[in-house]
Amino acid sequence: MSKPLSPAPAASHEHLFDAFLRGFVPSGAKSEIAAALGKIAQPMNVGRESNVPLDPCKNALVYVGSGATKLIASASGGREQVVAFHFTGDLVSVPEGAWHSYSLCALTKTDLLAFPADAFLEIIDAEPVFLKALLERSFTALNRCRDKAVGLGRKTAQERLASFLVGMAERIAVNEADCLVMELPMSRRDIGDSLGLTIETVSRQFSELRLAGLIETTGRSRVLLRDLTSLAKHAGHG
Amino acid sequence: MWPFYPELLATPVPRYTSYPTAAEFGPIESGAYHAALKEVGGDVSLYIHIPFCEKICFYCGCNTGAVGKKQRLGSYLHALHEEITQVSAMLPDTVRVRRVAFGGGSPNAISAADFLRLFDHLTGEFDIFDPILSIELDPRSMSEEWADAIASVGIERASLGVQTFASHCQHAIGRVQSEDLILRTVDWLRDAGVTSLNFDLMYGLPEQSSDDLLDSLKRSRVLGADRIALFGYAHVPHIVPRQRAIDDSNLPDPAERFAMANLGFTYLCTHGYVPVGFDHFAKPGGDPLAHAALSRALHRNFQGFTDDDSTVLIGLGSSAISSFPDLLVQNEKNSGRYRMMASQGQLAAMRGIERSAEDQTRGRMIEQLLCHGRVRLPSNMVEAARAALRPFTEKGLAAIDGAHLNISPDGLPYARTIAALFDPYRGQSLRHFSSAV
Repeated sequence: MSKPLSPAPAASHEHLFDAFLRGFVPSGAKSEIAAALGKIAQPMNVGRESNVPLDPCKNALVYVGSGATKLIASASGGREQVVAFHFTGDLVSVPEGAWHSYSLCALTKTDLLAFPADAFLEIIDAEPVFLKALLERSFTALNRCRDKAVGLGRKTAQERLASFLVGMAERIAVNEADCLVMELPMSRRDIGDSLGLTIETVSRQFSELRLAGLIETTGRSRVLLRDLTSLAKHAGHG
Repeated sequence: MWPFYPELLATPVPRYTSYPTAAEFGPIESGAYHAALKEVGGDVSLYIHIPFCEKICFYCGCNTGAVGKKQRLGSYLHALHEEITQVSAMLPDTVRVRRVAFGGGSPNAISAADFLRLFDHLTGEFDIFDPILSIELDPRSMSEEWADAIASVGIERASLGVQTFASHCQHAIGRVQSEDLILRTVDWLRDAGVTSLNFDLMYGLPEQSSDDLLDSLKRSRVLGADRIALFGYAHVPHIVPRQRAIDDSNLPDPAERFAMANLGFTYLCTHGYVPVGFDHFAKPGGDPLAHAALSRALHRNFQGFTDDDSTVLIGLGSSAISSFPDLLVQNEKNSGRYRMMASQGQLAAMRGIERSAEDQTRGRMIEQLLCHGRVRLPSNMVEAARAALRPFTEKGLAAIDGAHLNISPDGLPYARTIAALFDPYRGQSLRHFSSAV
């Protein structure tokens, strides 16, 4: 599909920052803390399939204002693993100096706010609401990571894909009558790079789940889940 | 009584007949529409726009003009025929058309013979299979010839622009039509085989009282309307210049408008209609729209609430909007430029917006909220939604139950305002929309 010549105006910086604050601490933030965070927030608008230009020498916290991203870890020999996908409202930690080098890539046109992680932590140092919010998000990320480790280490291709779809449904699906519908912004290749499967295997497993009547797909992105409980049974959850 | 919180209705919100709304449209690449047409699969719906009326009413925000010169009408129809040939040739052979809707303006501002030619051409170019046909009609320009045309084509659904039966309101909005005229039209349409008949009615009109509204509702029911669409008149002369002809000194105030909307809802729900979304009503038992509302199969498109579940709508004619899962495009609004482009064999769609995966998700959330008052929230939105919804949940207008957001019965008049919380394009846009109730 071709791109519009002039895309819809990017969300204004204040609008983006307001959305961040509301999403991060729905109960409200002290004005001086909000102001200090506002000063270190760097708004970015990144096009589809483009890397987010982050300083590779600094730990970053990146808030996804709208759109979707994938976090890629690179191992030696050009091997890449998609570590996680992120959607509107998510906060992503992009570390520097880890064993693998990390890059954040936009899956669609994405509005982001990037914070230097050290400065961010310093500002919220004495703010329990912020610390609690950050901790809750860290737990969520840790749990997703663990679930994924089980998948990569122990599960069949079908279980990995079913597990992926159940996880995505939780995060981005909306109901339509009695079904759940979601628009997956990532390609089949991205899904493969995330689940440790080839693109052919991903496509074949999509077909099998379709044949089993558990999902329906339309076009490249739309997935309809008829019965989440049955799909979860195919996901090898213990 | 619905509780009235004017502060929650103060911010104008879109009607969400599409998402993103037309306010977000911008220039699109010329190849985008063609590419979308080539990729269509399965069943589609057609919308045919006839931007003419016998007489122009002061209140109307539609893209329409007076029939006036015969030549202009002729050249518009010529361009429309060209566009039909063009667009149908671009669709894959496997595509079937299951619905055709004629709207305007007033489709019956053209002659019945022109209409039959148009329909013949559509049948020849598209694979129209067991279609559901619908049409908007102006009772003032109905004729026996038109009734015959409707019968011969097999149109089962018709919508009449009634607006109000009160003569003083009719004069105030420049649309004078006697009850006899409506009655005659209803008889013609029933004899022609129309089984689902809609009356468009309005509240909040200049000089309109609650009694005037109640009277119009009663008459509509007695005349046997299967559906009623009850719209609030939006006085926005800065957007619709022809509304400057309306004396705004006698418009009902927001509290009166709210009470009228409530009166309409209460009356219709206690007199044999079920609510469909926030401003449509339909008779259960027979009417497909009522069935869709009751079975949670209702959708929203440019014509309002609908039982059409097609994911592709192709709009033909000036200003018509086509909708694909990942693209919205609108034909040239200016009838002269449309005629020029279409008659030269070019696609006339210049504006629109690509719908990202997130736009599609947001669009579905807004549609579910407006159609069914309930939506499952994606997990990353729950906390932010809880905060944003507090003004509504505190007053009992909405509730978050686990992953679901429910609009309560008292919250119905606030449905659009609640839906707008999930529209990230709002807050950036300075365009003025009509007030929510």
